[in-house]
Amino acid sequence: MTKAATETDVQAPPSGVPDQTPKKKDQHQAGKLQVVEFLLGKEHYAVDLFDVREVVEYTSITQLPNTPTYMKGIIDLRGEITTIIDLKERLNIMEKSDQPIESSRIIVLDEKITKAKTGILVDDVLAVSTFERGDIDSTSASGGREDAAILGIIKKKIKEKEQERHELIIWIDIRHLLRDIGEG
Amino acid sequence: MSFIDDMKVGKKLMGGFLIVLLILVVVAALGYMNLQDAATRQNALYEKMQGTENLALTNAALEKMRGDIYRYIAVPADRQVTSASLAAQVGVINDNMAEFRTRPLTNEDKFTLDTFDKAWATMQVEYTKIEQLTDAGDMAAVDAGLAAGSPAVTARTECLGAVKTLVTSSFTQAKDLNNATNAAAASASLVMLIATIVAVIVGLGIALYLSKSITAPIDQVASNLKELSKGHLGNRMKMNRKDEIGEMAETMDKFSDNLQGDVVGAMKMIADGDLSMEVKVADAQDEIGPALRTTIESLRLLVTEANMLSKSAVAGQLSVRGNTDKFKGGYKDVIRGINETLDGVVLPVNEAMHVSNEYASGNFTARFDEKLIVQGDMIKFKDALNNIGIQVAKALSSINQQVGDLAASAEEANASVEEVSAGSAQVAKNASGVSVNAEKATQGVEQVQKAMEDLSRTIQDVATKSEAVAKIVQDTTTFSKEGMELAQKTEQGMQGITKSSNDVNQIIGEIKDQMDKISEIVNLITDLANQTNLLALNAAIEAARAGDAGRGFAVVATEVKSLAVESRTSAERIAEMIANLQKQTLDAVDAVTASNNGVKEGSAALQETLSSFNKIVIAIDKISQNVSEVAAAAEEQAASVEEVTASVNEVGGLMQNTTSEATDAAAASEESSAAIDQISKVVANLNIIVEKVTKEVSRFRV
Repeated sequence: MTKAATETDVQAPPSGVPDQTPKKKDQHQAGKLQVVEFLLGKEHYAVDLFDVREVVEYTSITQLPNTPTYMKGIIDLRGEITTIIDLKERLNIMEKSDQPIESSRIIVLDEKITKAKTGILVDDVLAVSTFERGDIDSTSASGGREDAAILGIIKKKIKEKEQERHELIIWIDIRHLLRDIGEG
Repeated sequence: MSFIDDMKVGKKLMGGFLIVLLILVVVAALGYMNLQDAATRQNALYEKMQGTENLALTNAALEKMRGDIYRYIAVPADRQVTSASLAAQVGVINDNMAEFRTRPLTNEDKFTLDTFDKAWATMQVEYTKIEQLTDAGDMAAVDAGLAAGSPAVTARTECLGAVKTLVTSSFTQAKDLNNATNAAAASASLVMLIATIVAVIVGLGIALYLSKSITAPIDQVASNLKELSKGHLGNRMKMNRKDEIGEMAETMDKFSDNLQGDVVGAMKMIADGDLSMEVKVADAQDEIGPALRTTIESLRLLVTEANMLSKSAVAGQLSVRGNTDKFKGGYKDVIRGINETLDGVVLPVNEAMHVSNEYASGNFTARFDEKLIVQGDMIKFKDALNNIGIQVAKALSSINQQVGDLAASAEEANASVEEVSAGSAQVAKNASGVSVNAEKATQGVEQVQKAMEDLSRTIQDVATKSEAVAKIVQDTTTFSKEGMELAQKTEQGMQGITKSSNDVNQIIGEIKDQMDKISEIVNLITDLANQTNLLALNAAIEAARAGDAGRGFAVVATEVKSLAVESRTSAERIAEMIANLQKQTLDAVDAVTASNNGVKEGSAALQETLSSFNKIVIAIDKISQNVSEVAAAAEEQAASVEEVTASVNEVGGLMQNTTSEATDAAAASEESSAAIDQISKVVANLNIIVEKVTKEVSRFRV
């Protein structure tokens, strides 16, 4: 039930996204995209670099009562109260990480895109990467569904045992997701 | 060559001279023949010389004709004389050539002579022609006739050449002849020399042979005469030749035969005592024969007389004497000596006969007549005869006395012998009893001996077995001790193992501690790597946000991140390894603990083994002691048995001795009984004899 409600919440206001996205894209250098790669379960995800403020280690989270399940709680980050969102819960990812909770990471988001200071809890942060526009498939990604909050699929070239293959990274629209929460 | 020996000496010498003369004649004939040959050659040479002279005259005449023809032409005044000279020269040449033709000529010479004749005829014609031309005054024709190559000159030159050729031929032939002569002379000389040498050798040989055939037999005759003069009559010459020397040798041989056969043979027979031969007298002048005959007759007479005397003496007719009147000189002395010998022997012998007769009749008081004078060995004879009388008288008195004593002793002996006889019979009886008992005892002793021997053997077996057991026990002790030593060594080894295990445990504990520390460090490193990674990410984000200005920094951040990732990976790997190591360490600890337990169990088992060994050793010692005691006891028994056996053996020996001695005693007793019987008989006989002797002796007067 909770999931269904969340989905509906997320799907509800899909209005501003198309407007903002081009604007955001303009901020990048022509034809280039810089992202922060991270891990949720077994899959790789990415968010726009300019939406990220910093990455911090997991600290003990103080849970808040009467909040949706993806609201993990709050932490004290250098004197500032920061809200922590469990992205796996939010994206309905059921897979649990085999790592202990202490080794997970918190990506602190840029204050421009949030009213209050917000961080997302991910299993691990992998890298800061730059991709060409040609490497991103934005047409088939969402599957026609706006509320999926997927901006595209990034094909990352990996050299493995002299063979080149593509690793697929899911580029998600973090602002859209936060707006659904009501923070953005 | 015996016919030469048979020739008379004169004939022999004549024959030798004749042979030498014959050889001389042969040599002279050879010389003569050679001289003849030389003379022939000389003659041939002379003829050659004459031929040459003819040719020389011809040559001179030709040369003169050559000159005269020019004179004839040049000096008309002398033409008369010159013509005569030319004619004379022609005559000279014709004569000489005619004479030359008579010489012995070779075919070559004859050919040359023909050439000359032709040329000579031409020349005479041409010269006559030239004379006629000169006389006619045709000087030109004359000149032409005498020019070189004209027939006259050519003929003259040919004539001269032919003469010259002939002369050369003559000289050559003369030279050949000379050479042949020389060769013949040399060969003749050689033949003469050989003939002379042969003649000398043959002559000398004949001379030597003849002289030897005459002188050698004469020497033989002379040496034979020398032998005869020394009395060696055995040699004979036996020359068997018929010349004067042969006859001489034959005569000498005959003389030797006579002397050796008749005279010396007779003498040898006389020496051997054979006087039966008759000596022949050759003739009235023979002195050897009669002398021999007289000698033999004297000797025969002497022998007859001596024979008569010895035969009379042998027949006991001691009164017969030889007749000395029949003999002379030494022979007479011989017969007289024999007579005197007979006289010296006969008188004492008569007296001895008388005394002997007295002795024979039992009268030993008779003695040799002191009035009769005896000498030499006869004195000994007289004393011996007297001594017989004295000694026999003395002996008879002694015999008388002894016989009396003997009779008394015989009586006594007889009594004793009877006693001994009885005693010895008793001894014989006892001895056989002893012998029987001794044999029984001996049998008993033998049984005892046998039993003892069995016992001894048994005891020896016990001793032998005891020794074997003792040896086995000793070996067992040795083995036990060795086992104990080994067990002790093993225990030491076990203790060493325990100690080592403990050490290992300790070390492993230490290793574990170290591992834990390393684990902590690795965790720390992992943490650091994680934080670095985070820092690098944040740096990258900051750099990206800074835009172009942060591009370089972004690179650095990426590098730092990759380093952090590597560090973390390494740390993770180390952690993994350490986990493995820790696991293995735990396994090792388990293993060591297990081995410790095993060692402890082994140690306990060893302790038990050791105590078992100790017990074994003690038990074996006891066994050994017991076995030794048994062995000692067996030895003692053996010794005792040996002593007993020895004693029994001794007893047995003694018993046997006793038996044999008893047997001996019985035998001896029987023997002595027999002997005593014999003695009894002897004594009885003795008595009889004594009686007889006494009777006989009483007959003698002493």
